[in-house]
Amino acid sequence: MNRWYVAVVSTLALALVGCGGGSKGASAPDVEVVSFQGGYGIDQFEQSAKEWSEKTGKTVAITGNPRVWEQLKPRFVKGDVPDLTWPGWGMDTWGLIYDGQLLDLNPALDSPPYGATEGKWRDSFDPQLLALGQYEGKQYMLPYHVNINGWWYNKKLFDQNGWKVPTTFDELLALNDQIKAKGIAPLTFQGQYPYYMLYGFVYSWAIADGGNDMWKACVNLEPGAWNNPHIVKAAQMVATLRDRGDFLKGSLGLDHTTSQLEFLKGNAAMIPCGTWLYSEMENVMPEGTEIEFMLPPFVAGGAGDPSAVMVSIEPWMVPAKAKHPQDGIDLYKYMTTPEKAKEFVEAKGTLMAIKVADGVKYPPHLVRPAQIFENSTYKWQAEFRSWYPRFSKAAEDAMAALIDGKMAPQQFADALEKAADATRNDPQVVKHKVE
Amino acid sequence: MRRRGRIAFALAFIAPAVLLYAGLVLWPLLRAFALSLYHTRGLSTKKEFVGLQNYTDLAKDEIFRTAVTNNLKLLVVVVVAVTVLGLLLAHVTEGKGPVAKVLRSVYLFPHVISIVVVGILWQFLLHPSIGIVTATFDRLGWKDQPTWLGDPSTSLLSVAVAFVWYGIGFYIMLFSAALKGVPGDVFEAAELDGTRGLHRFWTITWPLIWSIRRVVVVHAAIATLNTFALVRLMTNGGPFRASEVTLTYLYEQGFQPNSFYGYATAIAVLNFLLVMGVSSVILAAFRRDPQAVRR
Repeated sequence: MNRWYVAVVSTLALALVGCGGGSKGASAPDVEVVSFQGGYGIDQFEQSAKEWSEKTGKTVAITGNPRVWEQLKPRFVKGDVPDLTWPGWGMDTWGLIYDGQLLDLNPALDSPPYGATEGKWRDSFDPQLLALGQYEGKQYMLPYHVNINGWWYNKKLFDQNGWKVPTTFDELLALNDQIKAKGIAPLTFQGQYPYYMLYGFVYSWAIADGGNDMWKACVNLEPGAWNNPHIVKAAQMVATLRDRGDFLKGSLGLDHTTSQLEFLKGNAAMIPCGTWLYSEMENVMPEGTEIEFMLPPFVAGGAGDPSAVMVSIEPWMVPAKAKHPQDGIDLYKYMTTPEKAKEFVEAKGTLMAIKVADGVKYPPHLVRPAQIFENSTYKWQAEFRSWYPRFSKAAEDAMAALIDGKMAPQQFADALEKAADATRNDPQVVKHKVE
Repeated sequence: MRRRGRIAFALAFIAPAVLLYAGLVLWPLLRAFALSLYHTRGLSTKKEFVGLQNYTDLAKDEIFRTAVTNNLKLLVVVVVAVTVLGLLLAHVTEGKGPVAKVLRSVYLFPHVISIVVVGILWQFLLHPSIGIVTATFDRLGWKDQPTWLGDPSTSLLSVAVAFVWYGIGFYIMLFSAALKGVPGDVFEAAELDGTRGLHRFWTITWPLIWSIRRVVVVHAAIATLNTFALVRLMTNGGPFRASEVTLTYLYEQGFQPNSFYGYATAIAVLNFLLVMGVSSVILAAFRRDPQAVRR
């Protein structure tokens, strides 16, 4: 018989089997939440969702993944998006905003908070941190917990040797001599990711020396802002530490976890890092380790605010094409009530960008950051790392070259200015202006 | 009719493979070529046609140039190293002594480890304070050795060493098979003529394993040009781009968390052309069967 006919039919049948399937289950949840699953897990969000579900009678499905942005990107392209999401650090959230993929949450912020009939949900948030999620007057991202950047020091080593936490750069230099006399490196850093060194050293010191307006000019990429004398001075301070041999040898080749481990093992006394260091390294922390957070030593006589602290938010958002945006918002309202925020702090040990119920007990490693955060009158940010990634990467390359002695402080500042200039003149790049 | 039936019958059997190849290889390739002509963030369906602008931008991109140069440096070092070492060690495995026996049983080990594990392993081996390699050099009296992964003059070389360590087993296996494939009587005849050692290698072995040589060189070239995981894990392209390769740069531009998706696709297309070009040159250079010439 027609053997070829049989062959064609069976091939087509195989192809059809291959293409078929994939129809969705019948019971779609009322609200879908997709969350980054990092050091804090998603159990607290699941708990909130369960409670909200019981109160409202609506079903919630929460999924988490450590690289959740990779799953979300194609979903955004397709338009099949969740109702509420924390897409994690790997998502280009500003790109989502430029492409119109996120919902403006201003109307929601002006509505009452969860369970209330009056007042504004907006008042639940720290206004300075809320501002970090705005673009062209619209509110696309809402902060939840917040990180502050500074340095960590080995408290046990300091106590044993009677060392005092340095508050100025001169005190730091004097202390470093004592530390080195003990055969310990004063500082290490996350060499493979030079933005840690930019945040902890250069930007911190430039702001301390030059003040808030100088920083605003830098962030706004004003001509001549990035090679101003304060940036050069901050770079010179790094060069001084480098030339004095105050950095742990080989730090430039270390990634974040290995350098942080060197610090925890007591091979270096201090390291620049954010508040997340503790939870990031908790599982590998040698027994008896005591570490404490500190602000980078200030520049004596500087025009900046000594209480200045760098902050970064972990934003939640509602996609513009969400099927049930109002439910997503309502669930987030529930998650941001002071009681739920208190539970989150006590379970996970983090600072919050939202009001926390009274009587919150911070874990020991967070007591000092919480004080610093509360007492700070100037919270600065380096969100331009996401706005202008090419500029930022050029700054990172220059940072590594500076710390390796391949660039002089003035060359470093000029390299940053050149990169800022390129970004300023690139019509492809969407510009941000900070007031 | 009968003949037409046979052709159709054959086509029906070829069709699945052709369809799969077209659907899973050709079509995405064409789509990638098309996408590289757009500005897009890869976060929505929004895209703006810009013609060849991504390519003209790449031509001016110093970092891309560095990455391609690094790729070519890696290519030369790795291809030469795996060919020379692979052949040498393949000869050693041919022996009968204990060294040969041990080598025969372990040489493929590095290659069966996941590349991610290899990257992490080498990061630790070269660690400035706890690395076995650095500690050994230190013991041997090399006090001011460089920070292998943190020094711009050694980071790329360190990646190359790790790459060779990882890949060498596979090439030893290929060369071993090639050596076993040379008929014993050829060697016997050569021996009767008094040809031994290096002379025998150059006149007999080397010409007779030409086809495997070609496979080794092309395979190693493609593998090096497509390096990603090792560089990403060991140095992240640094310090200051000293070990950047095209695929790590592609990842930075397209993902991390930038979204110059069209630009990244243009890098992918150029890398594809680079791999094709280099492989074609190698295939052409190693094309001739030396035996055929003699006939």
